[in-house]
Amino acid sequence: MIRFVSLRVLTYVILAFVATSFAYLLSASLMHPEEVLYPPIATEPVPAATAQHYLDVRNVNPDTPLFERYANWLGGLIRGDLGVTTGTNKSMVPVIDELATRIPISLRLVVLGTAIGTVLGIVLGMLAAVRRDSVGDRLSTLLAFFILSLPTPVIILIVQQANQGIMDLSGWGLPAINPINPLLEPGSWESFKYQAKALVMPTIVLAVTAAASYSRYMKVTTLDVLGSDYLRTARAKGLTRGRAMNRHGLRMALIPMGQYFAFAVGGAFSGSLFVELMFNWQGIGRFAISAIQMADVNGTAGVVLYTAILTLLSATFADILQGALDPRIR
Amino acid sequence: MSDPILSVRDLSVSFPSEYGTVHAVQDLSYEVHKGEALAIVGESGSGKSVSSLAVMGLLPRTATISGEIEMLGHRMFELNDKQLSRLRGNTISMVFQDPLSALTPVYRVGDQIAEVVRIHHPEISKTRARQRAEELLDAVGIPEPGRRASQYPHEFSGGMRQRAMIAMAIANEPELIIADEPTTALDVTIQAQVMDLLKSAQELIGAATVLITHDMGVVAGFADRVLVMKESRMVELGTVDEIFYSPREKYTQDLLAAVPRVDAGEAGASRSVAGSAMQKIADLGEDRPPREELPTVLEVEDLAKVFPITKGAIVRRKIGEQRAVDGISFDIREGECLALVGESGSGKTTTLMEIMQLRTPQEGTIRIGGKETGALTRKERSTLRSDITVVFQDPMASLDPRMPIADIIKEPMRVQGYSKERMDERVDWLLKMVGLLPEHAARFPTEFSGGQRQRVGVARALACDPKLIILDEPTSALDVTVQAGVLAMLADLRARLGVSFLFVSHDLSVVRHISDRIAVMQKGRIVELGDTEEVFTNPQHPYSKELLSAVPIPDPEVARSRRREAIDRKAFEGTFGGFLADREDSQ
Repeated sequence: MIRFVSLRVLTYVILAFVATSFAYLLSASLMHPEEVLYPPIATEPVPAATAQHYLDVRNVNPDTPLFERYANWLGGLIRGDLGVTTGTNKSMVPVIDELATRIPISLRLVVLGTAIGTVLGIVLGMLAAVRRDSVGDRLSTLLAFFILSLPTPVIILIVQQANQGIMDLSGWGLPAINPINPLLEPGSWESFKYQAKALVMPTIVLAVTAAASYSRYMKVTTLDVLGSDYLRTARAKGLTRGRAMNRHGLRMALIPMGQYFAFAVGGAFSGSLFVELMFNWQGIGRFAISAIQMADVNGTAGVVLYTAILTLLSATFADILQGALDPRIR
Repeated sequence: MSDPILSVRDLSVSFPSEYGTVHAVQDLSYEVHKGEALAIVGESGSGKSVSSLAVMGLLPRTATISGEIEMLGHRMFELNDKQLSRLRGNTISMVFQDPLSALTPVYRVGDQIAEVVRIHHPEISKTRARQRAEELLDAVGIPEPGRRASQYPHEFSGGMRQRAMIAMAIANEPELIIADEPTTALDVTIQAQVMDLLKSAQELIGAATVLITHDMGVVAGFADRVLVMKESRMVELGTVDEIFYSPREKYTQDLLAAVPRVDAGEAGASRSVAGSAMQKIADLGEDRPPREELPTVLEVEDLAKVFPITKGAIVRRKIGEQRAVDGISFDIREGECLALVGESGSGKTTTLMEIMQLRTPQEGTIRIGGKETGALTRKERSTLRSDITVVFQDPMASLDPRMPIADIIKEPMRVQGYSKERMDERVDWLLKMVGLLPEHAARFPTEFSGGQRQRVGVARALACDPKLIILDEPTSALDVTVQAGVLAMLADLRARLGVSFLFVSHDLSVVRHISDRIAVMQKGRIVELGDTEEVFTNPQHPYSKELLSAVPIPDPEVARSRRREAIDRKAFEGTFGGFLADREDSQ
């Protein structure tokens, strides 16, 4: 077991390293953070020594060979230092600090959205399969395809407009944007309440999109189970239709779902990009977009490292889940 | 006779389908009395399984049912799912066909047996139910029941799973056990054990049994009465002796006549009608010159195939080896039919694969028409492919559904570079040879029945005048009457064309009718090889004897004399002086 776990961890470290290195090499060779030194409106050039120093400190000097910059960056990586932000962001914030403040904001969104979406999708999918061809099944199928066919920004707009409509009618509504109210005292009950309320709409968006695709998968696996011999055996033993499904069918239907889970987290991350933009959350998704826009080499590599770890963790979680559900693969 | 415990009256079941309503069962009426064994026999699609699912109340919701089923005073169609579930597993229980999929893979076998006890007797503690599960496993002859009970279904062999299913079926001492093709998926020796067990279990708890099967041999040894079904209707109902010795209906006679028999040699000695049509097949292909004078078509010498068993995903280590084929030798002469028989996992298919590859085997040598396969050039090998052809087990899976059968038959000829005119000519001739019409050439495989599809498969195998046809279980997917037709055609082809057969089968009774010589395989070795007549009448190796004695014989008198006690009565009654008494005390 120890051997298995250590081997697994080692594989993951290698995978995360390869992904991040690739992202670094790509962004370092394609982005030009040095251009910030030569704005078109400048009347006189920055002195050469200053410019060189500016670029060297940030490890983005185009005169340094790519692989030397990569080696510098790797050295930092081993010490747990992901470099500083570059590009148009001249403030030189360590990327690791930037990630540390933003990850908790994004993670609560992604984890909560995926968890609710998964549970909702599983329940809806199972009901749709068990009551196949009923009004509920058709309605949920239609709804799922409606949601799947809409781009995430449109869903966000619908949710925001619905909230606005309620607010106009009743005078009570959820905060439209921002995860935190800067006017409230941090750590106070009021501030916590505001944060919880602010979380509702973005979570709805993520949960609904996750549930739509999950319910489709779940319906298929449940239909497989419904036609299976062991479910017939369970009923022949004297279990009613519902109890046979709960005791024998559900667990079997969930086994293939474990596979999708690993991908769902990746999906939730890209979903959260739009959510963070349109709800004005200072999360990791927003940082990813701005890092790419600003030609922030270190920031981009840092984001990729984070998503790589996130995906690998969710893959591990999916494996554990499957092992727990299915004794045959233990 | 006592009052019936189950009476089915005018039962009709139909399903909606894309092609209109399918009438699965029509106007079926029968009764089952206490302690009686009724067999419902019929070919595929005769509605025998559907009728039993109707008794259990387990038909899909799309089914339209009419008629009446009465079980111990309960009118089954008037009960809802909850009321029915109180009867299922307690008063009626069921053993299903495929033991591989009938147990939930994610729960321990012991827990699944304990569950059936606890569903109907919630007052029994979990530990007691678990203990009961172990006693039941012991009773049905599973060694080390304590350890086995905490294993998962995938750790059980097919026969053991079916034993576990029987343990589940008798756990609550039901009044009626329905067994739906309980041994179809099992090897013949295991089949014999499971049928003995089912019979003993039924006698032990005094339950009535409905056995649903297509296998007349199984019926002869098990049933008191037999109900024959054909195309959703009942054909004939009578005692087992009436059905086997003096069937009234033509269909019953045909069905019995088509049944292959291992004891074919002693024909006339048996009063049973079974197997009479098969006799003719054996009579074909007589008066040929002695074997030694004929040229050798295929020669296999010390052939072995070893699969390594590896462990580890990144660094593969060999931890052992599986000798799938372990040094076998045989030869086939021109116009001869050699049967290779053995149970699943005995290495039959691996042997075929090695021969069909036409390459140097891992160990040993294969010679075709005197040429060693390892020494062939690319071109020679490709030409030789037309000399050895194969007919597969599943005719539907081995024919491309998107090709008309003319193209299917032409394909091997095209590879060998036949001219267009010659191909067209041959397609007509081949179709006639296998008993189809030349007009069928433009049709697609789906338009044919199973037996006709297998004939197309044979026509394709014959396309380039092969010297040897390898028949890999060619009739095991077919109904008996169809099987008889295909076997007769094969025997006829051999007599007329002088082609040799390597006939691979698990079914000894089929082999008896068609082969000249027989090779019995066990665990990768040929344990006995000799003339069919000799092997069947005087088997030398203990395994051959065991195999032969396990084949069911479609003659009630013979079958009854072979029955054995197979249940552990003491284990069933439990350690506390009878489980039932124990249960009543606790109530």
